Amino acid sequence: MNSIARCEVVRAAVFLSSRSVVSDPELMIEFTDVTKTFPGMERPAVDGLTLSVKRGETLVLLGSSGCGKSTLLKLANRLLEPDAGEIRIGGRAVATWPVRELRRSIGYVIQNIGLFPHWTAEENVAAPLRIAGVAPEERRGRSRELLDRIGLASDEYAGRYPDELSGGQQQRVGVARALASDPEILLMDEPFGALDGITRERLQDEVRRLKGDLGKTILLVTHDLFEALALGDRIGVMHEGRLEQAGPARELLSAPATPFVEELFKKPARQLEAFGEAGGASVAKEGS
Amino acid sequence: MEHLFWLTLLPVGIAVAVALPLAVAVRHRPWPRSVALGLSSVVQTIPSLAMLAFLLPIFGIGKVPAVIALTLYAILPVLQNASLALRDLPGDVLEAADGMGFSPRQRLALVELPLVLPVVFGGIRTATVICVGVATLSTFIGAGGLGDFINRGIALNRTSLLLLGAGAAAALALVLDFLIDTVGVVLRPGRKPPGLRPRLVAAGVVVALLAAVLAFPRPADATARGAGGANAAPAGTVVVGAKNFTEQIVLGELLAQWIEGRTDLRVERRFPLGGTVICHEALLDGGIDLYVEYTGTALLNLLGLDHDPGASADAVLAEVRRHYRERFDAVVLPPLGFENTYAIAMPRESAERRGWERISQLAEADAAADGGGLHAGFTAEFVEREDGLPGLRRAYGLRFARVSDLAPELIHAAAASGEVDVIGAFSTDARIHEFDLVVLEDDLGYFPPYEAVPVVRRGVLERLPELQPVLEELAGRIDNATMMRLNHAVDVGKRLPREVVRDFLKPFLNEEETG
Repeated sequence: MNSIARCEVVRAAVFLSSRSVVSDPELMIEFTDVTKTFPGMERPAVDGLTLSVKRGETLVLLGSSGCGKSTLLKLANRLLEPDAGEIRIGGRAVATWPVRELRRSIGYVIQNIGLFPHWTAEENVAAPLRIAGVAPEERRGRSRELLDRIGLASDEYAGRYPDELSGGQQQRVGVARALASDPEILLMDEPFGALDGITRERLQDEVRRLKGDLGKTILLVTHDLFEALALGDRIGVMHEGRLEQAGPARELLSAPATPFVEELFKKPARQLEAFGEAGGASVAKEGS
Repeated sequence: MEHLFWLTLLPVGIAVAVALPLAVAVRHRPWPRSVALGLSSVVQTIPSLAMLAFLLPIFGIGKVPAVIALTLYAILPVLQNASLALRDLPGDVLEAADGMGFSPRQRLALVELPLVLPVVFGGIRTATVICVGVATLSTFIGAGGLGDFINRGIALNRTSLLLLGAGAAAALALVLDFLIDTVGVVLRPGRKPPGLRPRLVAAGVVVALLAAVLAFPRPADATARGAGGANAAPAGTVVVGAKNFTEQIVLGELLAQWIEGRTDLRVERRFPLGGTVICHEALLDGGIDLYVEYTGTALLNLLGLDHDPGASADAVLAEVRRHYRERFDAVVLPPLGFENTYAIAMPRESAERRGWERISQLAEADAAADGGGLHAGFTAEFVEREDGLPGLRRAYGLRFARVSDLAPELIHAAAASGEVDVIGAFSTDARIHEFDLVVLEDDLGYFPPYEAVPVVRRGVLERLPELQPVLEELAGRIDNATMMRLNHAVDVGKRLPREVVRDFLKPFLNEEETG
């Protein structure tokens, strides 16, 4: 199959799936023909993109920097507004939600963590509860419980300020903060971008555990192929504002819809081969 | 103390109340922010004295214009720090706040303001130190404060007073800076820095000391009130002003003690004020009730009239009196008896050797030397003023080989040491005696007469009818020699004007009482 034909197939499939979303209660996040162009830019940052995330699913958006994946995330909680197209959360068009109500129902982990430097870990985690008017005692208990769950013993870490925490610990606090109001949906923008390999792997393990324990719907953005393979139920590959292909890792590996997707997976596969069979096997296992 | 509250805390408080909301209002708007910052920077570049002079005609003298000026100065550092800190807040923290659904108000109150607080406090500290410093200048418009010491120190050439004022101002600046910083540290959200406890203890001690100093009754106040007579009924109050040089302070004290001694009125001394124009404006707008002016100054500077060379002192007095009545609704009382005129002075020894007694002789010698001879020293003001050096040159045909601008404090010494041959001086200046100089006679009558006359608003004389006869008793009591002697006692003898005047008036007051 040549690449153009392959594209057509993918588009048709995506189109069909987007038609069906309207009535499907299993779809938590839906982007339909969404386009966003920033002022002064020639090319749209997001270009006619259609994609959906099922309830309880982890979808990883994979792409190089500037491909529009972070923009897509911010369109979901209306930090940005689209120029065209529609976005639905839990079946409801986000444009019709009061913006703060929408945001408070979604956990958001940003690229640079963005902890409040003047608050302790405990206060940071409790921030979403605080703005929602939860009583101090209650949010304190909830906050400590989350810190414990995320692997930071609350007795030791609750009173620390962000600059007294390592990068990995800060990132955990960021994740705990996103979970504080127990949202059904988590948006995570390069959540482990700034971390070293080992810390990163440990946190990825914990996110997988959270996924299993809590049943959250997660839309996660990364430029790291291995993170995508490790975390994603499905992977959406983005390039220059467009969705190249979305599907389980195995499908992307075995049947890349575009030359870009093919090339994306080919290079690391070659590198892994160079390390020997063990590496290759591990990728296959992660992807399955 | 007025310096602390009126001239520092109040303006800084107003500035914070204005600048902080302004910074918040313009934080997302680059254009208004630039305009606000630009405007407050422009205000900052206005020299302090010029600012006070601008406000003078609008608000008169006293605390109000000083507080306004200081507030304007205090706004910039607070506004600048607050709005730049708000602009430069870390984007990821704000994104996190927005992303989790903070309302704009919550974001401002819980995140933005707490995070910029330390920087804002930095601005408040800067504003406070600026205010303590600039406030020393507001003494020129009669706003009081530590500048009074400095102003008197300069006016009376008293280094000790000057150092007292300047030292106290510096100490106050340091203390306030420390206290405000401590408040900032306590209010700062987040982790408390180490050493907070000793710092709080130190701040407590400083506050206690400050309170003790402020609670201590000030001797100046006590004597001023005491002199009014404890049993005197508060029939009314008279505010006496004076300009900022020795003779004026002596005369202000003289009017004050005379009124206190001869009436039941309470006297408020509001001097030294910044200069002729400030005294005059204050007289007209009620900031002061009376002060001593010189007929020549009134004629040329305040009324803007020309001096007709050769006009008699009586003629000038009559003209000034008429114009004061018609234009200012003020009364020019009878002259005190001396003239403090501009004069050309030179070392006695040199004058006697050359046989010079009159300015025209000086001019002849100057002409004979074909401009090659004389080196003259004048104050910058005298050199510039049309009725100063330019007019003098025309009237006498003087050329001078060289003219130097000299500071008024140095000019007599320069003449005595022979650095310059002749100088411009004031005829009653004690330093003419001190440096053994003589005054050359103004034989062409170029300089207008400068008779010292008390000037009073007419309304004051009507309100307090006992005042005019008492002030008229002073007519002719102080001749040139007396005035020079009193000035000498203060300038050279380093005595307090209050004491010099008291000793001088003692026989007269006794005589009036017994007689």
